[in-house]
Amino acid sequence: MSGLAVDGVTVRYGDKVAVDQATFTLEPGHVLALLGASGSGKSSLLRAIVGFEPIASGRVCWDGQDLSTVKVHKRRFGLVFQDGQLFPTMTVAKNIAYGLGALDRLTRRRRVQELLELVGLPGYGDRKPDQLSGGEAQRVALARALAPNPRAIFLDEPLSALDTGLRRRLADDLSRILRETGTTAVYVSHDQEEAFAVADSVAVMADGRILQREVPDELWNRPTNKQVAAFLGFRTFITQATAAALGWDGRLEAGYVLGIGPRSLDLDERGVEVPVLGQSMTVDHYVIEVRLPDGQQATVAAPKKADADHVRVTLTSGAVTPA
Amino acid sequence: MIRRLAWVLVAAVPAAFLAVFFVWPALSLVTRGFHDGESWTLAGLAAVAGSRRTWDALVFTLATASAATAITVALGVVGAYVLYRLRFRGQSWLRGLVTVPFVLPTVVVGIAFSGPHPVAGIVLAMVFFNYSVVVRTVGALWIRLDPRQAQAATALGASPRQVALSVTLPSLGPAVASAAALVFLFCASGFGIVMTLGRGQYHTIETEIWFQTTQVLNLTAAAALSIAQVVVVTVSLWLTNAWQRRSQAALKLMPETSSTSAPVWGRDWPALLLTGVVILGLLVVPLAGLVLRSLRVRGAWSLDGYRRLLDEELVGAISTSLVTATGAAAIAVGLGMLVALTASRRPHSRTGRSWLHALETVYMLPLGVSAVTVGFGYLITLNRPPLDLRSSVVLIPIAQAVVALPLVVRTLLPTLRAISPRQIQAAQVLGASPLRVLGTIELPALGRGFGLALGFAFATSLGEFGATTFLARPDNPTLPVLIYRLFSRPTGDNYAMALAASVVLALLTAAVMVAAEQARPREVESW
Repeated sequence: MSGLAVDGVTVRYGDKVAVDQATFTLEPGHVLALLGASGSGKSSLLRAIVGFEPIASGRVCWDGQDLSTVKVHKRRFGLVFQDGQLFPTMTVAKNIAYGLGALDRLTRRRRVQELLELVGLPGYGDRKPDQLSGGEAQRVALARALAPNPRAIFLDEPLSALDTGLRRRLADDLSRILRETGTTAVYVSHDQEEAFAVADSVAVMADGRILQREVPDELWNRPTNKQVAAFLGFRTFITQATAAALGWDGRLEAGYVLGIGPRSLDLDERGVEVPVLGQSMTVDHYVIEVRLPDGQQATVAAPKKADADHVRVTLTSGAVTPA
Repeated sequence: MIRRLAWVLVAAVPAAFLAVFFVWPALSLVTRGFHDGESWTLAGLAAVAGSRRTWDALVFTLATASAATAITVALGVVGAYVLYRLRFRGQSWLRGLVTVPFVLPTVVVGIAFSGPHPVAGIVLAMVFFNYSVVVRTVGALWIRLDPRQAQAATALGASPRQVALSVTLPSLGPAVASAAALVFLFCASGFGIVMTLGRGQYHTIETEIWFQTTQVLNLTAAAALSIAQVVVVTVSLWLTNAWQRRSQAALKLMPETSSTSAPVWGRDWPALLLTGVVILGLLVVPLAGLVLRSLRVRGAWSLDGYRRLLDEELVGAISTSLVTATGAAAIAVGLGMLVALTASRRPHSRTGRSWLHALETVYMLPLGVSAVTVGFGYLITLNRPPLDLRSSVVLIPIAQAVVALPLVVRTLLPTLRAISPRQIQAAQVLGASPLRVLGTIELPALGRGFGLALGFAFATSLGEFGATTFLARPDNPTLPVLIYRLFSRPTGDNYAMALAASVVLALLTAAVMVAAEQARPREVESW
């Protein structure tokens, strides 16, 4: 097959198994997000694919060729670190040109310029890395990784060192750049929103295993088990009866429950009355904690504070999860 | 596989050098203690062990080194507080001043302290010499301690004194201990100091080795004493290493923060006063005294000492010193770069890492083995086939390079270790071959330490006395050897000339070190 094939890859640190039999394929031009909490093994898997961690068993192939004997510097992959890792002694232009190899100066300069424009930093070529902000440094790191036209690039939590607002903007930019250049990419993140914004499909990892790999929609609607659902924010699980009582119009097959996430319940004048247990605030909305008819707790996102001790809600969506 | 082989080859060059010019002489020396030329015997050793002189020397070595270490640590920790944790105008200048004694040749230090009673002079000279080791080692850690720990303790109601005793000092403990072990090591091998100040009455193990070799020609005794010396310094070197590893592992360090504070007289007066007295009384006065005394000849102000030197041997000694020191620095830095590059590999396997750790320790050994042992070892090994270098001029630079090599490695290695492994990985992923990584990432980093390493090697070699004194030819001495010779026959003119030559040598080394310090990279902290 063409593209990346990861086949039963296991990574061990001493006795600890960091990655346990990870298997997936990635077609050229697709972007996969590896999503997981810290310590789930996602970064180890990424580093194993790139060639920095020895693989205890399994194989990594590109276009059907086993890469185990191919040295890191000959794999033609790109890698973006969490903290950029620009070479401090070189200018931005030199950094970007580092992987270009033997090109004549003009071609080289043109390519550097092209990439600086692509990442939105035209004219930054002569700066030194220490004159860049965190976001700029990550853009340069991305340009540097893309410059040699790698077969695939790997991004290891590239935005997690940046502040929230910038992170969203950059995630969108990143997504655009990867699409524009048709780059095959694996994107490691612990942030669902970021992963969903960037990736064509998402693989959720925990304890070194890939639990599920799906397109974002499908993952969101049908997580493979409660662990995945919980990681995506669905922490309350209700039965068909309770769901119907809350106004849900779907049907659960036997052996399934419905996961309730932060956006599953909507305030609705014609909905079901539930008692308010508490309220808190986030950046752009209130979170009202309520008790469901079956006694469990869930949250409702609301534009303003609830002033009564009851609110009316309707269940509009949820994650269909095996019980 | 090929890459590993290449590194083994790179490591082989300094290894061969060390084997021939350090391990072989040192081992031959040790065997000499157990072999009387015909058969293996413990008789020589027993004779030495039964001799009163030996025990006197051993006791004197341990007593002076312990006393000097205790004083240095006590004064140095306070000095570290004042010079690193407080913040005031002229501070960086003072930090520089404090480091001057450490680079001064031991012979010069000895002469600067030739005023008081010899024993007091010896101990004070050792304190003078090593003060900066403690100030710098402890201060460099202190300035990077996370201030929030002390703040947390204060918020919990601890008084400043309690904070100091319960939080700050325990955090500094490893650095203090490691500095103390180093100081003890340097004191126990303060050959030049004891030679100039002991005047044949007071002996340490090292001066006793010199005495047995050159005055009594009892090589067995000298060999046995060398073994004792090796044991003393190896133990303290081993402790140093163990403590240093602990200090690296245990502490959470900050980048040099702005957590320093301006001095508050009510709180800081004891520290300020003590450090002021130490800097003035222990550092400035002896050096100024040395200069002044060099200008007094037969009770009158005069440049006679300098004038006579110019007439006679000084020019020759200076040029000999410069030539040998240049050679030594070139050898030491060249080999040191190979050692640092090898020792900074980061193998995946645990066995690989422990091999590298062992390698690093081996290259530190010359630091632990007295220069006297090296010089004496050369005398008994390199003066006959297969390698007869006794009459060759290269022997002195080689011996000095052996002595300087650990300093060079300790200066260069941190610059390479400071490269984040991810930097190298970033280059690899971009398609850089190991050779290109070496050329574009590692060598530039190494280059940052190059100036300091070269300066260190050059200054150490300029002042090297322990090994050189065995190897220098009478008609062609280096500057320290000349100074010692003049000083040990202190007729009127000789004394003035010794002082004048000391000033010249001190200025030379200080100039070299000031220039080298300009090139000190941030990540190289200790001495």
